[in-house]
Amino acid sequence: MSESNQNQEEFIVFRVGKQEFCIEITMTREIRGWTQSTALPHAPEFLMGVINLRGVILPIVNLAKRLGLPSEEPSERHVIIVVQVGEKSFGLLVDSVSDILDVNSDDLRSVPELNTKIAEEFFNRVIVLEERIICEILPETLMPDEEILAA
Amino acid sequence: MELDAIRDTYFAECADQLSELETGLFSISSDGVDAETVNSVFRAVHSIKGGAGAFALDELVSFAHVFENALDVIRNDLSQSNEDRIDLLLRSSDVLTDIVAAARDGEEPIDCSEISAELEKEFNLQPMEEEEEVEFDIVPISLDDLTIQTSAATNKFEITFAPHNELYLNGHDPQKIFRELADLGSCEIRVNTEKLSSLDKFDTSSTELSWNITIETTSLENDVRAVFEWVSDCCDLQITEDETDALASDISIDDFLGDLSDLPEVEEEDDCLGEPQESEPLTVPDEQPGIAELPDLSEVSPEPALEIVAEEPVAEVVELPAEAPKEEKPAAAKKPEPKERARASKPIRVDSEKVDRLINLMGEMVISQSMLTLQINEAGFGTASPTGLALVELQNLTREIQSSVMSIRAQPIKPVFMRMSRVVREICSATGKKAQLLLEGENTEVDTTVIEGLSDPLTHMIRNSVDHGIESVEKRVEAGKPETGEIVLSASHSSGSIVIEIRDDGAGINRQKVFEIAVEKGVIQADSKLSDEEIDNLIFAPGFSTAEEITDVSGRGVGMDVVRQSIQGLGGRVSISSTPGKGSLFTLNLPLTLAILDGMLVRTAEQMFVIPVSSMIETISLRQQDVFQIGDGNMVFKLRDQLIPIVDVGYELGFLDQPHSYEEGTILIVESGNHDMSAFLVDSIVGQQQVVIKSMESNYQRIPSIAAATILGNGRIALILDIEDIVSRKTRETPTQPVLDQIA
Repeated sequence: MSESNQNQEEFIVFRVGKQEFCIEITMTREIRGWTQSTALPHAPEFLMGVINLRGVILPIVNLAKRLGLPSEEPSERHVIIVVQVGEKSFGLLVDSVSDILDVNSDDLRSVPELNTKIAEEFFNRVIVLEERIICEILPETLMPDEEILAA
Repeated sequence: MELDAIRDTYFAECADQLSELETGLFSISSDGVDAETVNSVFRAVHSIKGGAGAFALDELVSFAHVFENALDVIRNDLSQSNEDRIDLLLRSSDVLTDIVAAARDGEEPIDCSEISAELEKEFNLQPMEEEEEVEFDIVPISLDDLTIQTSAATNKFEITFAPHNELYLNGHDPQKIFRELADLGSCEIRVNTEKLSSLDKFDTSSTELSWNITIETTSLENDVRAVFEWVSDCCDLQITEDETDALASDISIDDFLGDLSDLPEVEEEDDCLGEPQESEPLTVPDEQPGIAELPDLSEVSPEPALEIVAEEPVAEVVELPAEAPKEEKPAAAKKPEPKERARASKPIRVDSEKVDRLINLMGEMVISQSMLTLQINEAGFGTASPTGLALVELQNLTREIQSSVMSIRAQPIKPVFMRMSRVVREICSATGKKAQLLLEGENTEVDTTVIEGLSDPLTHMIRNSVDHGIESVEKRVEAGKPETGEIVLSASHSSGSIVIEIRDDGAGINRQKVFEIAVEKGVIQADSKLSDEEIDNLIFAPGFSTAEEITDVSGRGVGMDVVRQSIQGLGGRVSISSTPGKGSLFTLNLPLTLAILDGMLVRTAEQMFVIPVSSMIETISLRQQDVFQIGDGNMVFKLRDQLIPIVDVGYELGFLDQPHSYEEGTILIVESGNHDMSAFLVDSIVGQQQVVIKSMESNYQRIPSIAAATILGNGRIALILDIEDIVSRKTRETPTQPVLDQIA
């Protein structure tokens, strides 16, 4: 994860509530509209359930809930970003996709010490632009661990 | 590149030959020696050797050669076979398997000098150089032997059969008699038209035809005569056992047709009909109107012979009446057996990925079909409307295609079972115990994915049975049991699932020891009160291993819990029952296929769920007076005289904060692995349909209470309930049986 030799990295930027977050564009597979999901038993609250993505069962993470932000009932305005981590794919429910950014490595900073669990757990770097600050999320941290479910 | 492909084919064939070899040796060791099996075993080794020579696999060639010579000793004189020798041959086949595997993977050749020497010593083989030439002469001889053996036991009968008028008047039909004869053996039936009057003098009420029949059969004369038992009063019948063919009386159909075409009126018809008569003379009696006008003739015409021919797989006989090459008849009679065999099994090798793709597409088709069904129902077409009927047709077709596709994947479980016999041999030699593996139902067909996944857990369980189950020879003798322990591995189909049982006649489970170990390992509390069955099943608990010291056989730190996990991974379940001193019985229940399931769609907590039909017993609508509360909130349902614990599906899965009101709803009585019944309470039943099983694990992980998911006609996902898991979760909080009995 060291700062790349290339100067440019590409990110997909999306909005949850009033904040903006991003993930590396290479990890995203597609963006699609919200569809009603099927809830799973014994699942953590942020795991909304599963949807049918062309015959594949795709779990959906409500990012607002995952990050502990206030969330609203999902509606047709919401967007699902399909992310692939290793062999597995899952969907991220976000409010909207706002941008695709080419970012100079100069503009990428490490996450400042915030003393919050969330920042530690999910954030990788921060993009600092003139009037915007965008936290980069590591998608692999979002899915629940096996132990959480087994409990 | 090309050579690689040939090499691959060779090794694929090797695998077949090896399994043939092992199967053969196994059947010799269990059922005794017979020439046919020895020959097939010999051929298998010989083919492996032949191919190995082409790829310069010297190790393989030389070992196969010794092996082959050893087999030859038995082949030439069956009495040379004895238990020790067969055991040595079985071990040799294991070594051969290893050598082939090493050659295939390009690994270091395995040293087989020891077992070679053993073979040479045991079978008094001479040094191999001398035999090299002789041995190639032997092969054709072996095939000759075979043919003679298969045809040696047949009897040949000449039958002359001339029915009287009464035969027809009494409602008998020569066709039926001929068919019955054909069941006894290969028949050659020739109609005798000598007495047939020309068409202008033809009397439709008299019988003029008779038949000459040559039958080659393994049955005796009495059996042949019995076929004619009911008509013996109204026909002239002669049955002689004969070697020479009574062909002189035979009249070919050409002559018969020749007579017919002499008749002017028929010829006219012929002109209209044109070619068919010329090219297919045999069909003429059916198509030619001139003959159809003559009821008797058409009934007793050569048609029966034709039909029998169609049933018999002897193509030659079809041609015989038309061309009548009389000299060839005896030859034709000899051929059917090999020909039938060739036709019976004509396997093709297909990459399993192609089949998998077909299965996936099949799954998508089932989904599309249910979408279509939904649309059609919503559009208000009734089932009796043309659209509805077409849909039903489509559904039937889909089902049929599905079962055909599934049957492509279904394979006999035999290869896996055969591998287990090797496992038993290896452990016996490692532990010094004596055990014998018996197979039952090894031809049961199982989905290949299931078969692949079964190999490891079965190996582990068999190892376990020998290592922990079967006692040492001394202990067995002490207990009054035969020295050699017996392990029975059986497979069978049972109501939509496959049941595999591993039964040993060993010591059974030492419950006290199991309990102590479980306490020691922290699996259970020291003061736990467990039934015998629960103690037995402790061996499946994670972190449990009964071996006091870790042996190199079965104790590798992973216990039976790994077995349980892999069986569950296949969608199956495993249980054990044991009788101290008598032995243990492991039962595996596995789904027939991993792709599609017959599901009952139910609705509860505003969601749709699928319950596998295979575990359902009945459905009943809930009446309040049938529900009773026991203790602290545990509800039971009274079904006839039985009290069955209620499982409120929505509440149990955590979708409802409050249990069901029990005022309305539907009860589904389901049965779990150990025949315990539960009453699943849901809001309503939507209907039964086939659902495609989609794994939750591919993108997520295993979820408690959920076996898998599926996609419904509306594109939404429904979860397939894991009955087993839900019930076992529930029973942890439900009162034990005695309490229920008291109330009942």
